[in-house]
Amino acid sequence: MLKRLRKAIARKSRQFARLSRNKPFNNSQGRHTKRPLSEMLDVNEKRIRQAFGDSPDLVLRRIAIGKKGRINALVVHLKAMVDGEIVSGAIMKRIVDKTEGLSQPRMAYTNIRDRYLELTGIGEEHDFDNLLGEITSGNTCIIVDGVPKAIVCQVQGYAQRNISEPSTEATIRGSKEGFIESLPTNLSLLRRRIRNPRLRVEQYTLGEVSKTPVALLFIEGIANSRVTEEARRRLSQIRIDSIQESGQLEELIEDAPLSPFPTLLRTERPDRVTGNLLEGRIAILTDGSPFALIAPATFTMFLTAPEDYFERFYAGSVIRILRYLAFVLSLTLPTLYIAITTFHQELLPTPLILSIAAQRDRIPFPAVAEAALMEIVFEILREAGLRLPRIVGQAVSIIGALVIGEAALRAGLVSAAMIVVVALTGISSFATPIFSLGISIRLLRFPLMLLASTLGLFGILAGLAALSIHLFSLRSFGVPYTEPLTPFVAREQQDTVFRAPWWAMSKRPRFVGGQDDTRSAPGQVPEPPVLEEKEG
Amino acid sequence: MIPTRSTHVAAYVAIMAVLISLTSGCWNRREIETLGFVMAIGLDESPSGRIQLTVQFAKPGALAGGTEAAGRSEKPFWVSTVEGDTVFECFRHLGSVSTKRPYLQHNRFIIFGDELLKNKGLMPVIDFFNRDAEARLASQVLAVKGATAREYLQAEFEGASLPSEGEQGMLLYLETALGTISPLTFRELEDRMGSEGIEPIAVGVEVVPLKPDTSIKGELTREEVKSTARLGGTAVFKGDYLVGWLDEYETRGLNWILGKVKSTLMVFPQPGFEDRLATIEILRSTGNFKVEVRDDSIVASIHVDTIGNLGEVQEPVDFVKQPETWGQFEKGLEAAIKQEIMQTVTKLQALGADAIGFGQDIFRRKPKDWANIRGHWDDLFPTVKIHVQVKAKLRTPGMVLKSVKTR
Repeated sequence: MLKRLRKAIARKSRQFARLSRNKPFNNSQGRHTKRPLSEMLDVNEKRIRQAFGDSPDLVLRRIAIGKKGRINALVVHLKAMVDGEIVSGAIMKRIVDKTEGLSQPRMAYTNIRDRYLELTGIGEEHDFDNLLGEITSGNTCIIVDGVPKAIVCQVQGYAQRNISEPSTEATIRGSKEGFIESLPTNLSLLRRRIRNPRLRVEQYTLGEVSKTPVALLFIEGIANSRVTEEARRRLSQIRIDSIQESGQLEELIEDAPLSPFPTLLRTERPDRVTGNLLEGRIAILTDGSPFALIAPATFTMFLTAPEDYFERFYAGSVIRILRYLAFVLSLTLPTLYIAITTFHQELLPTPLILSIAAQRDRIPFPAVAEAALMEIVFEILREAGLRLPRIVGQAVSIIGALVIGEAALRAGLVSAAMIVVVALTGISSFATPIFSLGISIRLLRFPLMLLASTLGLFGILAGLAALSIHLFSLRSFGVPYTEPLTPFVAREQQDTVFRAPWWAMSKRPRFVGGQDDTRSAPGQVPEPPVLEEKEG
Repeated sequence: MIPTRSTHVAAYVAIMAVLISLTSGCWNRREIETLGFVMAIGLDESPSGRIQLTVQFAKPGALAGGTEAAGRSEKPFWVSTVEGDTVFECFRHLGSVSTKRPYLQHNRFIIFGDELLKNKGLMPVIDFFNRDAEARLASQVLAVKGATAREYLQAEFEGASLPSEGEQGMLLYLETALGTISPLTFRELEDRMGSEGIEPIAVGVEVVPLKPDTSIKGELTREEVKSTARLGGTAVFKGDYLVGWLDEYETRGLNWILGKVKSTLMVFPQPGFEDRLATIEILRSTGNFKVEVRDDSIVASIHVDTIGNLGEVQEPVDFVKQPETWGQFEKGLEAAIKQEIMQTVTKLQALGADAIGFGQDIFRRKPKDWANIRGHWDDLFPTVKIHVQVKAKLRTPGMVLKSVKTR
C-alpha cells in the first residue's frame, strides 16, 4: 500500500513538473508579442471594443477637436475606475477648448500631451496590449486619429476604504494608522514615515489574469543587497493567474513551505514595516491586501509588538517576557496537564493533585480525550466567534462560556481543572501579537498532546526537541530563523527577550542588515546638566 | 514538492514515529482517578508475629474541591490493613482490600508501631522503601508510643481534613517554635543507622483516645472521632531496636546539643522568687560538642550559645532600679538549659544509646582512637563525662521595661 501511495505521489509530481515547464502559463493574450497601435482611430476603437467584449462599463467617448472639430479623438476609460470630475474637467474640457487653433493631428497630440492637460501623471503608450493594461488599471487614455500613440492620464479614482486602526494589531501607544487595500495609499503611508530618496520601491505586476501590482520596498544602503536580489528573484519567478492577498504571495515565496512556522512576517502596521525597513529588512506590499510581508523574518519578531519600542524600556521588556511566557504556556499547558495527570502524579503538590484527582473522579474519559475535547470545542468557539456578525458573536460567547463550560462541568464531562487549563491556553494564545504564529501554535498543540498522552513528559520533551531542531534549521531569506538566540549573537540580545533602551541600541541586527549597521551615535544616555562650580 | 529519497525517508520516519508511539500502549500510563494516594504508611507486628501493613489513603472526592455530590459528612480518608510476611508482599495484598492502586509518591509519613520496633526492629521492614521506585525517602519517620501504627492512623486532627496535613503542620510548629521534637526523614534515619557511633531516633507520637461523648469535630454529620494524637518526644534506638523514649524536655535537651533549637520557651524560677516562674522566649541558639579521649576517661564538652527575650514574669521586676536582675535572668536561663541537657545525657547514658553522636565525633576527628574504642563503645558511652557550658543573653525585656504592679 505504501508502494502504491509512493507511485501516486511520483505520478502527480511528474504531472506538476510538466505543467510548470509549459511557461508562460495561461498566456492567452500573447504578452510578449508586440502589437503597435494603429494610425486609424476606427481600427483602434474596434480593437479596444473587441478586447473588452463590449463591456458596459467601458467608456469610449469620441470627441471632435482641433480647428472646426476636424480632428477625431477618442477618450477611453473604465467607468468606475476613474475620477469622473477630473476626466470631464481637466481632460475633456481642456482638450476641446485649447485645440481650437490646431489643424494637424500630430500637433494636436503633442500639444495635448505637453501643454494642455492639467495633470501630473501623464504617460505615453505605443503598444496596444500595454494600453489595455493601462485602461484596466484605471487610467484614462486619449487617442488622436492619425497618431499611432496614446496619452495615458493617471486619474484613478475608485472607491477605497479610509485609513483606520489596524484591527489585528491594535496598540495603546503608537500610531493608529493601518494599511488599507490600496497600494498607492499604503506607499504614501510609508513614504511619510521615511522621507528619504533611499527608500526604494520596485513595482511588479503579478498574476497573469489579475495583473496585481506588487511593490518591493527596501532602503538602499541599509538593506542587504543579497536579500533584495533574492526577493527580486523569487518575485519574478511567480507564474500564477492571480494574486488576491499577500497570504497567497507568502506561500509562493517563503523559504519553508511545509513548515508550520511562518518565515515571512505579515503585518498591518506601517510603523512596524518602517521599523523593519530601518533594520535592513525588505517589505512586500500587495495591492488589494492590507497586509505587508516582511523578510527576512526571525522568530523573535513574531513575539514583538510595536508598543515594546514606544513604552519605556522596563515596561517594554517586562511585557515582552510575559508574552514569551504566554507563548510557552499556549504550546505546553494542555500537554503538561495530560502528562502530569496520567504519568507524573508526583510532580504536583499533594493538595493540588488530590484536588485534581477529586475532580477527575467522575469523568468518564481519559485525560487526553478530555483535553482534546475541550481544546476542539474551544477552537470551534473561537472560529465561530470570528465569522459571526458582532451582535451574534456575543450570543456565541455566552453559549460558549456559560452553557458549554458550566454545563459540561456540571454534567461531569470535563473537570474544572481542565476548563481552567483550556481557558488559560486560549488566553495565552491570544497574547501572541502576530496571528500567523498563533495559528501554528494552535496546530502544534495537538500532536504534542498525543505525545504527552502516550509517553508523558518524555514525549513532550521529544516533541519539543524535534520542534526546536526544526526551528533551528529554518532560514528566512538566508537568515537563520532563530537568530540571534541560536546562533547566539551577544550584541543583538538588546532586542530579543529584553528591549534595551534606545540610547543603548546603537547597532542594527548584523545577520539581517547589509553595509551600514550603525543606527545611532553611541553615548547618548540623557543626564542632567553639569552644574558649574560656584566661585568663592 | 517533488519526492526525493530524503522525503521518502522523512515520510517513513514520520509514519514509524506515529505507529511506535501509538502501539507502545501507553506504557506506565495511570489515569489519576485510578490511583489511591497513600498519605501515610504504618508498619506493625501482627498478633501472629507477621508484618502488618496499614495504609492511609486520601479520599479526594470527600475533600474540598471535589464534586458537589460528595457530601462533607464523609471522612476524607480511609485506612486499609493487610498482613503478610514481607512489606512488599503486604503492598501486593493491599490490592485485595483497596479499590484503587496504592500510589506511594505522595506519601508523607512512615510510621512504626511500638511492638514492631521492640520485637522485630527496623531491619526487616525498611529495605522495601529503598528499592521501590515509587517510595520516597523524604517521608517523615514517626514511632508510636504504646500503640500500633494502625491505631495511630485512625486518629484525626481538628482543623485538618487529612491527618497527614495536620501532622505536617504540627511537626513544623513543634520543630520551629518549641524544639520538642527532632524530626527526621526516612533517609536521615537510615544514615544514622549506617553511621559509626550514632544511634537512630524517631519522632514520638501518642494516640489519645477520646471519650465516647466528646467529638472534637464541630460538624454533627461527621463520623464520630474516636481518637486523636499528640506529637512530642523521641524514640531512641539501639541498633535497629527501640530501647526507650525521651520526653519533650529531654528531646529539647538533645536539640540544644545538636544546635537544632530554632525557637522555644524556657520556664525557670524567677530570680529572687523561688516560687514564681519566669519565661524566656529563645530567638536563636547554636550548639555543638567536642569529645576528647583522655587516658583515663572520655570527656564531652558541650557549648550552647543562645539569645532570648523576656516573655513573662510572675512577680514584678524593674530593670531600671535594679539593673543587676538582668544578669540574674541570664544566669537562671543558663542553669535551666544546662539542667535540661544534663538530664538528656543522663537518660541516654542510662539507656546506653548514643543518640547524640559522641562516638561519631570521635570517629570523625580521631579515627585512630575510635578504632580502639569502637568495640566497647557500648560500655564506654555511659561513662562519658560531660562538661556543659551555656552562654545565654537576654536581648530585650519585651515591650515594657517595668512590670505593672499592684499598689
